[in-house]
Amino acid sequence: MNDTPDWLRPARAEFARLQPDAAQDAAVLARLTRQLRARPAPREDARWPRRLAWASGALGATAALLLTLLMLLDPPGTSRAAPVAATGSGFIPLVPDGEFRAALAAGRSAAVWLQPAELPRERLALLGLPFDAGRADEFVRAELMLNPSGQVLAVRLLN
Amino acid sequence: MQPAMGWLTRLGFVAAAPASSDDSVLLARLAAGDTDALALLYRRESGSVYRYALALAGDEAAALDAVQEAFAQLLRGPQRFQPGRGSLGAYLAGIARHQLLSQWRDARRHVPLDDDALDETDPTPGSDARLTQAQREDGLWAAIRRLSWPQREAITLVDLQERPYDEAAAIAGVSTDVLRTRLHRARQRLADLLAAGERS
Repeated sequence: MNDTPDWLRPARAEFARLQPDAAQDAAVLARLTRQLRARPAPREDARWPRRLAWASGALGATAALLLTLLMLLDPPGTSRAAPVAATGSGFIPLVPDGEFRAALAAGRSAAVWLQPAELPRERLALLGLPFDAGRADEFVRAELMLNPSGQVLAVRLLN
Repeated sequence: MQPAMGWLTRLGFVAAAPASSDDSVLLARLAAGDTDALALLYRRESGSVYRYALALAGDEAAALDAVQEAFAQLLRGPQRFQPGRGSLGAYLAGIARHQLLSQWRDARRHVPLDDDALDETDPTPGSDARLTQAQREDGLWAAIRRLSWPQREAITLVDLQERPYDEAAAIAGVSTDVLRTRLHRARQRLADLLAAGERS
């Protein structure tokens, strides 16, 4: 393995026989065992909740920014179209129209969150939208608009 | 794969064998708090770490302290051991070395590690203590005890523990070239000391 001179090789075996005092060695292991037992139980991978929190925070901030931009381009109340077109963003209000517009107006200064979601196609009927009964068990990608309290204000279908 | 910079790679460490799957399993069990895994790892690795520390410290108590600190650090963060950077034994020996150096620095405020500066000196507080009490006080051991600290470390790691040069250099925190130089000087000085002993 290496180029140890022959005259040094006999020392290896002697060196390998060096051992600590058995009682002291056992005492060290006992102290380590106590230390291991006293250690807090490992948490289930705590990184994922943190990562999800960061991800959802970043997603929410991005969505709020996009929504603000959209509203700046098409401020609520300036359009004479129906509520769906009121934002110019395809959102279908799920709350009374007045409440929705108030929320959007407040959205200029307060955060309004977008949350990715999936809806069963059959639920499209509840929104007054047509759907193919043969694909009722499929899901549609959507975005939910929430106010800071978590109330769902509107939904937008993405496909 | 070139290992990333780290405690084993700062000065020329190129590659090392990955940890065995057995290591990985035991470390995972250790991380989960399995005391049986601790006992297995301790029985397997502590002897080598102890002998290395004993050779450096010349003192059984200091060597055992260093062993305990090495394993305590492993308990505190098993994930800090990165198999791609060297063996578990080398990792533990590195911690033990750091522990001994810290003790000596605290005691002496300065431990010169330059090979020439230490050629005739021994910074260990118990240099006349018990390295050789555990064995026969023959000429070879007496001569090894008279080597400088870095030279004794080189002899211990390579000639007595049969570690590969790259692993020994990583533990000693030097490049393999520096380790080879220290080893060459150590063997030369050891031969001189033994020859002088025979003449006297």
